[in-house]
Amino acid sequence: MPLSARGMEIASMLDSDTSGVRPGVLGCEILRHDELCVSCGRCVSACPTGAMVEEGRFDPARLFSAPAGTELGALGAVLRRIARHPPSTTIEVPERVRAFRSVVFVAERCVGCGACVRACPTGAVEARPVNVARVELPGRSRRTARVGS
Amino acid sequence: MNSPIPAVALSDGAGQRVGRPQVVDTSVHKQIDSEACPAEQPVDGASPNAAPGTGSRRIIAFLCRECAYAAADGAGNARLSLPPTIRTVMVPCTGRVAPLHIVSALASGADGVYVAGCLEGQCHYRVGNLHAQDRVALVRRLLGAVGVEPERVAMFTMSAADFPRFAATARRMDETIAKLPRLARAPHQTRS
Repeated sequence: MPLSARGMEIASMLDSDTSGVRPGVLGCEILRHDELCVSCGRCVSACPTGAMVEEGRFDPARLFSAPAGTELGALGAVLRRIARHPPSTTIEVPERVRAFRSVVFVAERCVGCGACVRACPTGAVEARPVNVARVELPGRSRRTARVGS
Repeated sequence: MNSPIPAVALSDGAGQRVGRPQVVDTSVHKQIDSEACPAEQPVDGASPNAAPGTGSRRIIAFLCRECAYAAADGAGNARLSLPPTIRTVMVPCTGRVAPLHIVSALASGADGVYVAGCLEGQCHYRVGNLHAQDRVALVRRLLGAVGVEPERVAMFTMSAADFPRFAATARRMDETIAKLPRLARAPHQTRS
Protein backbone atom coordinates (compact mmCIF):
# COMPACT_ATOMS: atom_id res chain seq x y z
CA MET A 1 0.00 0.00 0.00
CA PRO A 2 1.41 3.41 -0.89
CA LEU A 3 2.33 5.84 1.83
CA SER A 4 0.89 9.30 2.14
CA ALA A 5 3.00 12.24 0.99
CA ARG A 6 4.08 12.90 4.52
CA GLY A 7 4.82 9.27 5.05
CA MET A 8 7.06 9.28 2.00
CA GLU A 9 8.77 12.37 3.32
CA ILE A 10 9.55 10.67 6.58
CA ALA A 11 10.54 7.43 4.91
CA SER A 12 12.93 9.29 2.62
CA MET A 13 14.85 10.48 5.64
CA LEU A 14 15.73 6.97 6.68
CA ASP A 15 18.89 5.19 5.70
CA SER A 16 19.09 5.05 1.96
CA ASP A 17 19.55 1.29 1.99
CA THR A 18 16.15 0.83 3.60
CA SER A 19 13.49 0.31 1.03
CA GLY A 20 11.14 3.02 2.16
CA VAL A 21 9.21 1.60 5.04
CA ARG A 22 10.30 -0.50 7.95
CA PRO A 23 9.14 -1.40 11.45
CA GLY A 24 8.91 1.42 13.87
CA VAL A 25 9.28 4.28 11.42
CA LEU A 26 7.00 6.32 13.59
CA GLY A 27 8.61 5.15 16.77
CA CYS A 28 6.54 2.15 17.83
CA GLU A 29 7.18 -1.51 17.69
CA ILE A 30 4.01 -3.60 17.47
CA LEU A 31 3.73 -6.53 19.85
CA ARG A 32 0.93 -9.04 19.55
CA HIS A 33 -0.58 -11.23 22.23
CA ASP A 34 -2.13 -14.11 20.36
CA GLU A 35 -3.91 -15.46 23.42
CA LEU A 36 -6.00 -12.28 23.64
CA CYS A 37 -6.81 -12.09 19.93
CA VAL A 38 -10.42 -12.92 19.07
CA SER A 39 -9.85 -12.60 15.32
CA CYS A 40 -12.35 -9.79 14.93
CA GLY A 41 -10.34 -8.32 12.08
CA ARG A 42 -10.59 -4.72 13.23
CA CYS A 43 -6.83 -4.23 13.07
CA VAL A 44 -6.92 -5.51 9.51
CA SER A 45 -9.30 -2.77 8.43
CA ALA A 46 -7.61 -0.16 10.60
CA CYS A 47 -4.09 -0.70 9.31
CA PRO A 48 -3.21 1.94 6.70
CA THR A 49 -0.29 0.02 5.25
CA GLY A 50 -1.70 -3.48 5.06
CA ALA A 51 0.63 -4.89 7.71
CA MET A 52 -2.21 -6.84 9.33
CA VAL A 53 -3.32 -9.64 7.05
CA GLU A 54 -6.18 -12.03 7.66
CA GLU A 55 -5.16 -15.64 7.30
CA GLY A 56 -7.82 -17.81 5.67
CA ARG A 57 -6.39 -21.18 6.70
CA PHE A 58 -6.71 -22.80 10.09
CA ASP A 59 -4.64 -25.50 11.69
CA PRO A 60 -6.97 -27.82 13.66
CA ALA A 61 -4.06 -28.70 15.92
CA ARG A 62 -4.58 -25.27 17.44
CA LEU A 63 -7.88 -26.50 18.87
CA PHE A 64 -6.12 -29.17 20.87
CA SER A 65 -3.47 -26.84 22.22
CA ALA A 66 -5.81 -23.93 22.99
CA PRO A 67 -6.33 -23.31 26.71
CA ALA A 68 -9.57 -24.63 28.19
CA GLY A 69 -12.12 -21.93 28.76
CA THR A 70 -11.56 -20.31 25.40
CA GLU A 71 -13.88 -20.88 22.46
CA LEU A 72 -11.27 -22.87 20.59
CA GLY A 73 -10.29 -24.84 23.68
CA ALA A 74 -13.88 -25.86 24.37
CA LEU A 75 -14.32 -27.05 20.81
CA GLY A 76 -10.99 -28.86 20.95
CA ALA A 77 -11.97 -30.74 24.11
CA VAL A 78 -15.13 -32.04 22.45
CA LEU A 79 -13.54 -32.75 19.09
CA ARG A 80 -10.79 -34.75 20.78
CA ARG A 81 -13.41 -37.24 22.00
CA ILE A 82 -14.44 -38.24 18.50
CA ALA A 83 -11.17 -37.71 16.66
CA ARG A 84 -9.80 -40.85 15.01
CA HIS A 85 -6.32 -39.41 14.62
CA PRO A 86 -4.54 -36.14 15.34
CA PRO A 87 -5.29 -33.38 12.84
CA SER A 88 -3.48 -34.14 9.60
CA THR A 89 -4.04 -31.06 7.50
CA THR A 90 -4.82 -27.39 7.78
CA ILE A 91 -8.28 -26.41 6.58
CA GLU A 92 -9.67 -23.57 4.55
CA VAL A 93 -11.90 -21.35 6.71
CA PRO A 94 -15.25 -20.47 5.11
CA GLU A 95 -15.89 -16.82 4.47
CA ARG A 96 -18.32 -16.07 7.28
CA VAL A 97 -16.53 -17.88 10.08
CA ARG A 98 -14.58 -15.19 11.84
CA ALA A 99 -13.40 -16.90 14.98
CA PHE A 100 -11.20 -19.38 13.14
CA ARG A 101 -9.33 -16.80 11.17
CA SER A 102 -6.05 -15.53 12.46
CA VAL A 103 -4.35 -12.27 11.77
CA VAL A 104 -0.79 -12.32 10.56
CA PHE A 105 1.47 -9.36 11.22
CA VAL A 106 3.79 -8.46 8.37
CA ALA A 107 6.51 -6.46 10.09
CA GLU A 108 8.07 -5.19 6.86
CA ARG A 109 4.95 -3.20 6.03
CA CYS A 110 4.48 -1.71 9.50
CA VAL A 111 5.19 1.97 10.01
CA GLY A 112 4.38 1.88 13.71
CA CYS A 113 1.44 4.29 13.56
CA GLY A 114 -0.46 2.43 16.27
CA ALA A 115 -3.82 2.40 14.47
CA CYS A 116 -4.15 -1.32 15.22
CA VAL A 117 -3.58 -0.68 18.91
CA ARG A 118 -6.47 1.78 19.00
CA ALA A 119 -8.67 -0.52 16.96
CA CYS A 120 -8.11 -3.63 19.05
CA PRO A 121 -10.99 -4.27 21.47
CA THR A 122 -9.18 -6.84 23.58
CA GLY A 123 -5.75 -5.30 23.97
CA ALA A 124 -4.10 -8.01 21.92
CA VAL A 125 -1.96 -5.48 20.06
CA GLU A 126 0.48 -3.42 22.03
CA ALA A 127 2.79 -0.66 20.90
CA ARG A 128 6.15 -0.28 22.54
CA PRO A 129 8.36 2.73 21.82
CA VAL A 130 11.60 1.64 20.25
CA ASN A 131 15.02 3.07 20.80
CA VAL A 132 14.88 5.95 18.36
CA ALA A 133 16.81 8.80 16.96
CA ARG A 134 15.04 12.10 16.39
CA VAL A 135 14.89 13.61 12.98
CA GLU A 136 13.88 17.15 12.25
CA LEU A 137 10.87 17.16 10.00
CA PRO A 138 10.68 19.75 7.28
CA GLY A 139 7.83 22.21 7.22
CA ARG A 140 6.79 21.90 10.81
CA SER A 141 8.88 23.61 13.38
CA ARG A 142 9.44 21.94 16.74
CA ARG A 143 7.95 18.67 15.64
CA THR A 144 10.00 15.61 15.22
CA ALA A 145 9.42 12.10 14.10
CA ARG A 146 11.05 9.32 15.98
CA VAL A 147 12.89 7.17 13.56
CA GLY A 148 13.70 3.60 14.33
CA SER A 149 17.23 2.93 15.49
CA MET B 1 -32.41 -34.69 32.16
CA ASN B 2 -35.70 -32.87 31.75
CA SER B 3 -35.41 -30.79 28.66
CA PRO B 4 -37.21 -27.50 29.16
CA ILE B 5 -38.39 -27.55 25.58
CA PRO B 6 -40.42 -30.52 24.48
CA ALA B 7 -39.03 -32.04 21.32
CA VAL B 8 -41.62 -32.79 18.68
CA ALA B 9 -42.40 -36.46 18.54
CA LEU B 10 -41.70 -36.68 14.85
CA SER B 11 -42.17 -40.39 14.58
CA ASP B 12 -45.43 -40.95 16.41
CA GLY B 13 -47.50 -39.93 13.42
CA ALA B 14 -50.18 -38.64 15.74
CA GLY B 15 -50.17 -35.41 13.81
CA GLN B 16 -51.13 -33.35 16.77
CA ARG B 17 -50.48 -29.67 16.57
CA VAL B 18 -47.49 -28.81 18.69
CA GLY B 19 -47.64 -25.37 20.24
CA ARG B 20 -44.76 -23.04 19.52
CA PRO B 21 -42.27 -23.81 22.29
CA GLN B 22 -40.34 -21.18 24.07
CA VAL B 23 -37.19 -19.87 22.46
CA VAL B 24 -34.07 -21.91 23.03
CA ASP B 25 -31.26 -19.96 24.52
CA THR B 26 -28.92 -20.98 27.27
CA SER B 27 -30.27 -24.50 27.30
CA VAL B 28 -29.11 -25.51 23.83
CA HIS B 29 -26.33 -27.66 25.26
CA LYS B 30 -28.58 -29.26 27.84
CA GLN B 31 -31.01 -30.13 25.09
CA ILE B 32 -28.27 -31.52 22.88
CA ASP B 33 -27.10 -33.76 25.70
CA SER B 34 -30.56 -35.00 26.57
CA GLU B 35 -31.46 -35.65 22.93
CA ALA B 36 -28.16 -37.25 22.00
CA CYS B 37 -27.95 -39.44 25.05
CA PRO B 38 -31.20 -39.71 26.99
CA ALA B 39 -30.93 -41.42 30.34
CA GLU B 40 -33.36 -44.18 29.41
CA GLN B 41 -31.50 -45.04 26.20
CA PRO B 42 -27.78 -45.47 26.74
CA VAL B 43 -25.76 -44.83 23.63
CA ASP B 44 -23.86 -48.07 23.73
CA GLY B 45 -25.87 -51.12 22.85
CA ALA B 46 -29.27 -51.13 21.24
CA SER B 47 -31.96 -50.18 23.68
CA PRO B 48 -35.21 -52.10 23.98
CA ASN B 49 -37.08 -48.96 23.00
CA ALA B 50 -35.20 -48.35 19.78
CA ALA B 51 -37.19 -48.78 16.59
CA PRO B 52 -36.43 -52.03 14.76
CA GLY B 53 -33.62 -51.80 12.25
CA THR B 54 -32.22 -48.58 13.59
CA GLY B 55 -29.90 -49.97 16.27
CA SER B 56 -29.11 -47.13 18.59
CA ARG B 57 -28.62 -44.71 15.75
CA ARG B 58 -29.43 -41.15 16.60
CA ILE B 59 -29.47 -38.04 14.47
CA ILE B 60 -29.83 -34.56 15.87
CA ALA B 61 -31.59 -31.98 13.74
CA PHE B 62 -31.21 -28.32 14.55
CA LEU B 63 -34.34 -26.73 13.15
CA CYS B 64 -34.86 -23.03 12.72
CA ARG B 65 -38.12 -21.90 14.25
CA GLU B 66 -39.25 -19.92 11.25
CA CYS B 67 -38.92 -22.45 8.44
CA ALA B 68 -37.60 -25.92 9.15
CA TYR B 69 -39.46 -26.33 12.42
CA ALA B 70 -42.67 -25.23 10.75
CA ALA B 71 -41.95 -27.70 7.96
CA ALA B 72 -41.41 -30.44 10.56
CA ASP B 73 -44.69 -29.47 12.12
CA GLY B 74 -46.36 -29.70 8.73
CA ALA B 75 -44.82 -33.11 8.13
CA GLY B 76 -46.35 -34.26 11.39
CA ASN B 77 -49.74 -32.83 10.46
CA ALA B 78 -49.59 -34.50 7.08
CA ARG B 79 -48.72 -37.80 8.78
CA LEU B 80 -45.64 -38.29 6.67
CA SER B 81 -43.46 -41.09 7.91
CA LEU B 82 -40.16 -39.95 9.30
CA PRO B 83 -37.17 -41.97 10.47
CA PRO B 84 -37.46 -42.59 14.22
CA THR B 85 -33.78 -41.78 14.59
CA ILE B 86 -34.27 -38.04 14.13
CA ARG B 87 -34.25 -35.94 17.28
CA THR B 88 -34.98 -32.26 16.98
CA VAL B 89 -33.57 -29.25 18.73
CA MET B 90 -35.36 -26.05 17.90
CA VAL B 91 -33.32 -22.91 17.55
CA PRO B 92 -34.61 -19.39 16.87
CA CYS B 93 -32.47 -19.22 13.75
CA THR B 94 -29.84 -21.52 12.31
CA GLY B 95 -27.39 -18.69 12.92
CA ARG B 96 -27.67 -19.67 16.59
CA VAL B 97 -25.95 -22.97 15.95
CA ALA B 98 -22.25 -22.80 16.74
CA PRO B 99 -19.59 -25.30 15.64
CA LEU B 100 -19.37 -26.32 19.31
CA HIS B 101 -23.06 -27.31 19.35
CA ILE B 102 -22.60 -29.59 16.35
CA VAL B 103 -19.43 -31.26 17.61
CA SER B 104 -20.90 -31.60 21.13
CA ALA B 105 -23.89 -33.39 19.69
CA LEU B 106 -21.59 -35.89 17.97
CA ALA B 107 -19.46 -36.31 21.07
CA SER B 108 -22.40 -36.87 23.39
CA GLY B 109 -23.95 -39.63 21.36
CA ALA B 110 -25.37 -38.47 18.04
CA ASP B 111 -24.20 -40.32 14.95
CA GLY B 112 -25.18 -37.51 12.66
CA VAL B 113 -26.16 -33.89 12.93
CA TYR B 114 -27.93 -31.69 10.49
CA VAL B 115 -28.97 -28.09 10.49
CA ALA B 116 -32.12 -27.11 8.64
CA GLY B 117 -33.04 -23.52 8.02
CA CYS B 118 -34.76 -21.12 5.68
CA LEU B 119 -34.06 -20.94 1.98
CA GLU B 120 -31.13 -18.79 0.98
CA GLY B 121 -32.09 -15.15 1.00
CA GLN B 122 -35.18 -15.87 3.08
CA CYS B 123 -33.66 -16.03 6.54
CA HIS B 124 -35.97 -14.24 8.93
CA TYR B 125 -32.87 -12.81 10.58
CA ARG B 126 -31.32 -11.78 7.29
CA VAL B 127 -28.18 -13.93 7.06
CA GLY B 128 -28.40 -16.50 9.85
CA ASN B 129 -28.67 -19.41 7.44
CA LEU B 130 -25.62 -18.23 5.50
CA HIS B 131 -23.60 -18.14 8.71
CA ALA B 132 -24.88 -21.60 9.55
CA GLN B 133 -23.90 -22.86 6.12
CA ASP B 134 -20.33 -21.68 6.59
CA ARG B 135 -20.14 -23.08 10.11
CA VAL B 136 -21.37 -26.44 8.91
CA ALA B 137 -18.76 -26.33 6.16
CA LEU B 138 -16.12 -25.56 8.77
CA VAL B 139 -17.19 -28.44 11.00
CA ARG B 140 -17.15 -30.81 8.03
CA ARG B 141 -13.58 -29.81 7.26
CA LEU B 142 -12.58 -30.13 10.92
CA LEU B 143 -14.06 -33.62 11.05
CA GLY B 144 -12.27 -34.52 7.84
CA ALA B 145 -8.99 -33.36 9.33
CA VAL B 146 -9.33 -35.69 12.32
CA GLY B 147 -10.50 -38.71 10.36
CA VAL B 148 -14.25 -38.54 10.97
CA GLU B 149 -16.62 -38.78 8.01
CA PRO B 150 -17.73 -35.26 7.03
CA GLU B 151 -21.05 -36.72 5.82
CA ARG B 152 -22.14 -36.95 9.45
CA VAL B 153 -22.85 -33.23 9.36
CA ALA B 154 -25.05 -31.52 6.79
CA MET B 155 -27.03 -28.39 6.16
CA PHE B 156 -30.39 -28.21 4.42
CA THR B 157 -32.66 -25.34 3.57
CA MET B 158 -36.40 -25.44 3.05
CA SER B 159 -39.39 -23.18 3.17
CA ALA B 160 -41.91 -23.37 5.98
CA ALA B 161 -44.49 -24.89 3.65
CA ASP B 162 -42.21 -27.51 2.18
CA PHE B 163 -42.88 -30.37 4.57
CA PRO B 164 -42.33 -33.09 1.93
CA ARG B 165 -38.80 -31.79 1.63
CA PHE B 166 -38.38 -31.95 5.40
CA ALA B 167 -39.41 -35.60 5.38
CA ALA B 168 -37.17 -36.32 2.38
CA THR B 169 -34.08 -34.69 3.92
CA ALA B 170 -34.69 -36.50 7.20
CA ARG B 171 -34.85 -39.83 5.38
CA ARG B 172 -31.83 -39.03 3.23
CA MET B 173 -29.80 -38.09 6.30
CA ASP B 174 -30.87 -41.28 8.06
CA GLU B 175 -29.80 -43.37 5.06
CA THR B 176 -26.45 -41.60 4.87
CA ILE B 177 -25.74 -42.17 8.55
CA ALA B 178 -26.91 -45.80 8.39
CA LYS B 179 -24.12 -46.57 5.92
CA LEU B 180 -21.38 -45.15 8.13
CA PRO B 181 -19.49 -47.16 10.75
CA ARG B 182 -20.10 -46.45 14.41
CA LEU B 183 -18.48 -43.36 15.77
CA ALA B 184 -16.10 -44.19 18.59
CA ARG B 185 -16.04 -41.76 21.48
CA ALA B 186 -13.37 -41.24 24.09
CA PRO B 187 -14.68 -41.00 27.64
CA HIS B 188 -15.98 -37.65 28.70
CA GLN B 189 -13.40 -35.30 30.06
CA THR B 190 -14.35 -32.64 32.54
CA ARG B 191 -14.94 -29.34 30.83
CA SER B 192 -13.41 -26.38 32.48
